[in-house]
Amino acid sequence: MLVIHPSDADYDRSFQEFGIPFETVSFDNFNTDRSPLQFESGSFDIVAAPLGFGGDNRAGRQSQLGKNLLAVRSLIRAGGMFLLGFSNRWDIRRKGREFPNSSTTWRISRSLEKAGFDGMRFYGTFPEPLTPEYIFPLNSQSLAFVLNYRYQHKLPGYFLKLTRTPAVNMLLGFVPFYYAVASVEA
Amino acid sequence: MAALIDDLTTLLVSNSRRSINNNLNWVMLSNGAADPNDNVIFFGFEGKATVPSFVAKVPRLPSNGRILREEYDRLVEVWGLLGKDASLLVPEPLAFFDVGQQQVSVISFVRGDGLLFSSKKKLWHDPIQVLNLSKTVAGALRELHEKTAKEAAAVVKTPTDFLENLELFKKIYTPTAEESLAFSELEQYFARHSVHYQTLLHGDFWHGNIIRSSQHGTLIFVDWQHSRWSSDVSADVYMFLMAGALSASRGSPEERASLTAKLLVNWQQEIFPAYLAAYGPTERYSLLPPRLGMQVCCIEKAVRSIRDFGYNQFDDLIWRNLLTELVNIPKDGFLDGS
Repeated sequence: MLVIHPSDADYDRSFQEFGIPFETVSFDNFNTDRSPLQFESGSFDIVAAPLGFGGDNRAGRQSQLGKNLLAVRSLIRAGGMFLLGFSNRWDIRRKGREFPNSSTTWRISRSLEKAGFDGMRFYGTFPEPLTPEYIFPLNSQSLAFVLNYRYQHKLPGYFLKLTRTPAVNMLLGFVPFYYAVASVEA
Repeated sequence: MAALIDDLTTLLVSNSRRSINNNLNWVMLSNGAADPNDNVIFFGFEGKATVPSFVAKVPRLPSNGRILREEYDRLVEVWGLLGKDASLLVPEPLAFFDVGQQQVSVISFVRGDGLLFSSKKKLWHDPIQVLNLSKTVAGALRELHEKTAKEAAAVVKTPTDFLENLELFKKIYTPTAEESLAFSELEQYFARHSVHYQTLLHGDFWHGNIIRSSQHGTLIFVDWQHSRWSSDVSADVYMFLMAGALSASRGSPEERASLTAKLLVNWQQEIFPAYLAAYGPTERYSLLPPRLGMQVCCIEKAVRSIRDFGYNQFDDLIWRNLLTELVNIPKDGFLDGS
C-alpha cells in the first residue's frame, strides 16, 4: 500500500501498529513531473490519497490532477484500488474550500475515467476526511441515517424530519467531503 | 472499504443465525481519532430501510479479535438463557466470521434512545430524575441477573474476578494504609458470606451501555465485552449510580473523584435505598453493602485498561482517586449496610 500525504502527517506509527505493510510519499515529492519517483510500475495493491494531492495552485489544477492520476494509475497493479479524498466545491458550510482538492463527484469521476480507472464508487465523509466519524455510500438512505444519528440531539427536529423525506436527495450534492474509490481492471 | 463491505454482505448472509436478504447497504462509524483498541462499527440496512437492522463490529487491531469473540459468545449464551424475552433485554447475536485477517461480530441494531444522550448532565444533578431512572434501571438489571442465575459447581466465597483485579491494583498503585484496611475488610466480608449461585454480570453497567427501546419500551443492555459469571453482583449494581455521579463532575481526576464522592454521599438518604429496594433482596448470589460494593467497582475500573490492553487511560486515575475518597468517608450507617 502507498499513502500520499501532507509532509507533517504521521501515518507511519499507525500503520506499523496495525501491521499493514506500507510506503509513504509526501505531497511535495509527488506533485512534480518527476513522480512517481522511486516506485516501479504496478508496485502496489492499494494507493490512498485521503487528503488528495495537496497543492493550491488553482491555475492548471485540473491538468495537474490528470497527471497525478496517471502517475498513480501506473503504480497500481491489475485488480488494485485507489482511494482519493477531495472536498466538495459546493460544500454549503464553505469549509471544503479551505481544503486544497476541491471538486465535484462528476468532475472527479471524469478525471479518474480518463486516467484509466473504472468501477468508481463515492463515499461521503463526516465531519472531515482525515479522521472521519462516518463514511457512507453516497445515497439518500445513508445520508439520512448519518444526519439523524449524529445530530439527533443537536439539530432541530423539523430539519431532521425533512432528511427522512425525498428532500434529502438535494443534500447529497452538499456533503462537505468525499472519498472516491476506483479500481484498476484485473 | 468497498471490498470489505462486499465481503461483509456475502459472509453475513451465509453465516447468519437467521435468514437475511443479500440486498444490504452499510454505513461506517469509525469515530475519527478514537483509541486504536476501539472497534469500527458498520450499520447494515436491509433494502431501502431508513433504520439499520444490523451492527457489525470490527476491531481496529486484529489482536483484539479475541475480545470481540468472547463478547459474541457471551451474547449467544445470554440470548439462549433469556429465551423468548431475550429481545427485551439484549441485542440478538447474528453472526461471527473472518474477513481477511479481521474478525467481525454482527448483532441486531437496537432502535431507541441511548441513556447517554437522554440523561444529559443536568439529570444527574436532579435527585427526582435520578430516583425515577435508577428505579427503572434496577428492575431491569435484576431481571437480567435473575434470569441468568445458575447453580455454581461449588460453594463460592470470594469471587475470582475480584481477587484478580485486587492483585493487579496492588501491583499498579500504592495503596494507602486506609485502603489496605478496606481491602482486608472486603476479603473478610466475602469469606463470611458464601453463596451457591452464579449469575451473569454485564460488567460495564453504565448509562452509556443502556438503550431505551422504541420498539418494546424496555431497557436494552449493549456492549457485553466485559461480561462474566460471578457470585457477586455488586460490580453491576453500584456501577450505574457511580458512573452517573461521575458524569456530573468536571475537572482533574482528583477533583472529579472528590465531586463524585460528594454526590454519592448526597444520594445515600433516598436514592441508594430506593435503588436497592427496586433491585430487591438477594439470596442466591451476593450483593455487598454500598461502600464495599463501590470499592469493588473502583478497583476494577482502575485496572481494566492495563489488564485488557496493557496501558493506562485517563479515567483510570479518576477511579483510583475515587477509591481513596470512598475509603475516607466516615462510617455513619447506610453506606456500610447498617
